[in-house]
Amino acid sequence: MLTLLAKDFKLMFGSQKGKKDRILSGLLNILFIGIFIAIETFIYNMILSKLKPYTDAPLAFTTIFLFIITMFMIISGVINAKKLFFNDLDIENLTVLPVSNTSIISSKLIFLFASQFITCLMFTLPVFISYGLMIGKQMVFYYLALFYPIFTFIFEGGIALLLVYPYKLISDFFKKHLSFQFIVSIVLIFGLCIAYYYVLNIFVSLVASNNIESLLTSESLKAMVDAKKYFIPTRFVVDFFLLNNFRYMLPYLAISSGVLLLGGTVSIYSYNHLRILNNNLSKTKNRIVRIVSPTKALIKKEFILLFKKNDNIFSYTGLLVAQPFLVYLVVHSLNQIFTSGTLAYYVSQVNFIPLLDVLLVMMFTLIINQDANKYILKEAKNVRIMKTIPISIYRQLFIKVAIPFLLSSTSLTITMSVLFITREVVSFVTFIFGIFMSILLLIVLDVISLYEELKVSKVKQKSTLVSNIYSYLLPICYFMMTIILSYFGLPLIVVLSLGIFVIILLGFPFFIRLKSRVGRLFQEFEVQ
Amino acid sequence: MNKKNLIILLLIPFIISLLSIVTINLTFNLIENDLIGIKWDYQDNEAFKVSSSMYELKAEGIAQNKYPPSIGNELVWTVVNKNLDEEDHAEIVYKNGKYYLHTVSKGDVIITCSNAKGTVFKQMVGIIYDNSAIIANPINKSSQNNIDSTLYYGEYDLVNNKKELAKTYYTIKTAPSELISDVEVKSISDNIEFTLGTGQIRILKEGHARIELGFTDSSNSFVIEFEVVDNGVNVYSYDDLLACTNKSEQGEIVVLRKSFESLENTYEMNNGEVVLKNNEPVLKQDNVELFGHYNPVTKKYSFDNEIYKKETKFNRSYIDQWNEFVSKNPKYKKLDSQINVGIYLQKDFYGNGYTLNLHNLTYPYSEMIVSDGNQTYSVPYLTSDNLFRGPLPFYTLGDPNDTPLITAYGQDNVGVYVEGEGIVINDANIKNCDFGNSLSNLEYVGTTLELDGDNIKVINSRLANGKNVVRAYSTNNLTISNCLISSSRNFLLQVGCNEYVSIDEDKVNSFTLLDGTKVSLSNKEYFAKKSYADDILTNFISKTFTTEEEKQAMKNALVSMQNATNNYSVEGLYKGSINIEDTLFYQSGISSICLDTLFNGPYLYSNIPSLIGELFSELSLSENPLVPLEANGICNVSYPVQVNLIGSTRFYDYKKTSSLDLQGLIGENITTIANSILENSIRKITIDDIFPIKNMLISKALEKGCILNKTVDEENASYFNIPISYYGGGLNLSSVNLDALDNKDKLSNKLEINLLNNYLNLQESSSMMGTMKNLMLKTVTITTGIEPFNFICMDNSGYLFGETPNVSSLKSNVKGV
Repeated sequence: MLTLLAKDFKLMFGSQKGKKDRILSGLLNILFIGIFIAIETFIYNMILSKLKPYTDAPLAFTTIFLFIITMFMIISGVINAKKLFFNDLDIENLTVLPVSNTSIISSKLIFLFASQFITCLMFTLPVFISYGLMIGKQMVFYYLALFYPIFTFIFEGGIALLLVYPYKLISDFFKKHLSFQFIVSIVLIFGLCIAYYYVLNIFVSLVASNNIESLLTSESLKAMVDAKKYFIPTRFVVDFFLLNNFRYMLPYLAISSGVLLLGGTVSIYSYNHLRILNNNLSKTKNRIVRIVSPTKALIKKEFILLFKKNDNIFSYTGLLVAQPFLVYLVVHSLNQIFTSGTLAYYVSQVNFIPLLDVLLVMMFTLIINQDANKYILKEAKNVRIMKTIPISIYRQLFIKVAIPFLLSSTSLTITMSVLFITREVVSFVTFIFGIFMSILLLIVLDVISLYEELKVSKVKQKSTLVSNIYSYLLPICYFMMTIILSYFGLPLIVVLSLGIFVIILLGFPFFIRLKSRVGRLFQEFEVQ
Repeated sequence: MNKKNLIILLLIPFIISLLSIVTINLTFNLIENDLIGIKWDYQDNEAFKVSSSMYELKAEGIAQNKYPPSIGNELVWTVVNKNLDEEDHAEIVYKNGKYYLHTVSKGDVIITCSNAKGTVFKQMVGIIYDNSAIIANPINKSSQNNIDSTLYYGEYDLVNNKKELAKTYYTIKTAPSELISDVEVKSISDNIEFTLGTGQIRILKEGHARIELGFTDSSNSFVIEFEVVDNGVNVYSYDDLLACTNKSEQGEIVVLRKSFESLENTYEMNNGEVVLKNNEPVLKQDNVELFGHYNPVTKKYSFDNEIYKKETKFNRSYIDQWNEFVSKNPKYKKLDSQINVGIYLQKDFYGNGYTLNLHNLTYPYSEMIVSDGNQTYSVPYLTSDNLFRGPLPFYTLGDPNDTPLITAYGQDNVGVYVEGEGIVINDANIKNCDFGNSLSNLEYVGTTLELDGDNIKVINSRLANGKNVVRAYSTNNLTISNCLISSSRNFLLQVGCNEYVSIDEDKVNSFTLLDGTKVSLSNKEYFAKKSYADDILTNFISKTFTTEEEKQAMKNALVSMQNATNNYSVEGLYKGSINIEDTLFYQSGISSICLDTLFNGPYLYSNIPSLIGELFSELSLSENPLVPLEANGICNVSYPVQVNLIGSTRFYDYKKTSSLDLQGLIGENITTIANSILENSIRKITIDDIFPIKNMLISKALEKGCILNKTVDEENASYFNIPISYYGGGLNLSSVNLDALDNKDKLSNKLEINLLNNYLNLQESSSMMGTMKNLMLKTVTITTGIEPFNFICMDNSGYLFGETPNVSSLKSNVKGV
């Protein structure tokens, strides 16, 4: 069983990276989760402190907050369960091993529970601690909070197991019908963008009209308290943990156990069904190949890699299309927030708005582009072909970098034009410098990413430390520095020009290094 | 990783939005809650047989929802003979917590139920009979709450918006009931017609109306009598009220025949929802109508189309300059130069004791619960539907539509605006709202009654619950007599003048400079930017003065500057006179009467010292400065007004010294901005840090023997009572004549509060915050002007301390129309 659990651990978290990189990656993940939990706790605490004077409002808000966590846990459960139960390679390997079916399934269920428990605890325990401290709860309350994820798992896990097989079927369907997948993903992303727009618009219009406090009026809070009863089943568990109200706990346990049982049955049945099917599958597919010029073929290949790969559609290409809309929303709303009410006074002594706008544009561009900067690794075993075909490696790599760069730059230009032309969200200076600085940073990041990749070998995995620093840390540090310089009276254009100089200065060494070593590094590059 | 980062990026606007929620900056000085009315089932006239058994008397107090009445609001009953010369016909017996009427002999009595404090009452006539009696009651009950015992009917009713001779109906009953067929009309005045069978009275013309009913073979009789107001229109509905006021070009004489109340006081409510029966709201009382048109589905009113918009008559130089600025900079929003008026009266008003409560229009539609750490408070909160949102600006630093730094107020919105000559307001019971238990809740509700015209008379009236309750600017020979004026955020009566004289730019004055030398220059030259005044004022706001010589030199220079902006030619030229006779003032936030004047500091004249403008120019967002306009040329001197206090005018206006709340005087966001940063770190900055009159007044009052130390409810505190305050800053030549006032010996002389002396003695601060504070304080002075504020306080003899005004004293002192 322990071996199975270890295998499942690898299945969930394993990667082909080296030890050093796994540690680094782990640390980065922990850092990210830490930041996320800190933000979550901060938001929860901030709102809770405002709601404290209202009877019942803290409880209603906590219920809603925990309900949102439950929803995320269900989504996370579905994704984890899919990884555990429906990994083709895993099913294939286990089919030939002399392990009982019960052990395999038990291992997967235990692992699913453990991962869900730990994740849920990480997100809910700070909520319970904050609530307890504010309300003044006894020690036993915090101890009991450790058991909250167990109770919620019965429901969350049940729903996740119930949904995992349909999710797998839809996912497989999309893999087979790529154009359909592209359309659905674009529709989905735009649907989410529009939902985001509506919610954000409510907030921003409240801030812009100095009415953000209206979220805390008696009517709004009464509506929230009244709405609490609809947040089923979270409210039953929350009432039990926060109010010691047992009234709905037994029915909850009974229904949730039923859901878990049903979910378990469906997923186990489908798992077994797939195991049997797996033995009988034959995978052959004939393709007709058309002959085109090498450059055209390379460009076409890059487009296929970008637009047909499942991960790219939901991250890079999809977001590239949505970028103008998303950036417009965030930049426009933050501009409005910082030009109204008391916040306007805090930022009035520096050129805050244009500097913030440039930062946001850079961050969005770089974060979205990050998904496209696996230039060679995404070729997998095809690297062998890259090395042998009679096309200059410089041309091949240039095409690999140029396509996503061009796409990102086009999206960036459209984004900035939208910001500049429609309703004049940004000034002309911001428009010019936003494009120029983002493109410069994009070039630097692409060069660094390519360099990082070329240094990959069988013993050394790709390190993304430098590219991450250039993606996140550099823009933020630059923003803070420019704010300080602006406070001391440096004109905006000088401050922004300084940014260009800094980016060129920091990127140039990588460019030189790459240029001088690219040929050798590519030849030394080892196929994974 | 990148998707998660993207999520964080998308969450940033929400986090910052939530961060921008600022703490509500209010001082919570809770006041005692009184009943707002009394409810009973008795008719205007009730018959009681002479009997050894007793009649239980039943009534209940009406308290504002969520605000239980304080001690002193328990109901008490009294009975007096209608004819005081006769022997007592009845007495009140209190037994086992209940009140009973014990009838003694035949005759008419007046039965009154009131709270123990005497601030609210209800009254009926008791007909004590032995064998038989006739009882006639109007179908539409009277208010039973009149100060003036005379009932008034208008000559006309409005039928389909047209005036028709009025009709009214009475029910005629007898005791015992079988005698009804024996009732006959004994006599009737010639200005009415009466039909006994239907009880209909048809009004034919103005004058005293009288009908005497009697039995065929008995001397027992009953007299119906009232006054018919010439050209008066009876108002039975909100639409009638609008037709006679806001929607009438010339106005009509209003004779109220019903009360107009808030939603909560008009309809039966269930959990915030109006109770409907056959799709119609259920009324709480038959003689109460809703003020406004309310849609129970949308939960909204339609005041937008019903209120009267009145162009402000107060100084609007700033508004004009701002609007001109906006026409060149369209990204900003124009200011409205009109105030909102709930009811616009151009003719007489006969209230008949009915309540006119404008709560639905004036009071914020939402509320927030806030905490000061120990206790939670319900604070009214404006929604986008609210039309009453605070006064127009007189002067603003910053964008007046978006968190300005500071605003000096101009004219406020008004509940009832009276405009015209010789208008009489009699027996009105007007309040702008029901406001809970804190005067700070009155911040946005506007003025209750504004009087604009000569020879206006307000008599036998109760006026209450406004930011300022009565405002009278440029009114000659105004009489306020036998009234109760109560509960204001700032002042119960604010008087002043709309007219002013502007500074003469070309006038040559002799100005004292800091080195003691004199210079003769025109005002224009002296006050120009980078000229003498600019240098002196820059020196004043940026320096701390250590030696007496320095202080005196600066004071001389500033006084000579102020003298140049003052204009004594207006002295004695009163453009307003107000006679206040036998009137009771109760519960103000600052003082009972305020004599206003315009601010006229040099900054308002020519934006000097220019250092201020330079500091403001540092505050900008890209090309948008946070102080987009420094308006100038607003340096004027108001004409004075005279107030005559007469007779038994009394001030029931004691407050704890700590409760004096000046927050309603000035609109400012400096404390909000500062406290948002300083939240939970150091003590909060308050209006008293910016405008430190309160502490100076307390010190002065203590020095002059006007502070009273008392223990109330086991809490020892110091109290004072400020009947009169004179605005300072600009020259204030208004005066108060106390010669005809009873108990004038209880009032102090003027206590002068000179901010300039205080600022010249400010200690140098080593911290940046301290330096900023000193600069801010001095900036206030050069904006307002340096003329002192003056106050007249009650001495510390304890006269009227702990007492509340009794409405019965108004009833016994009724003034004729």
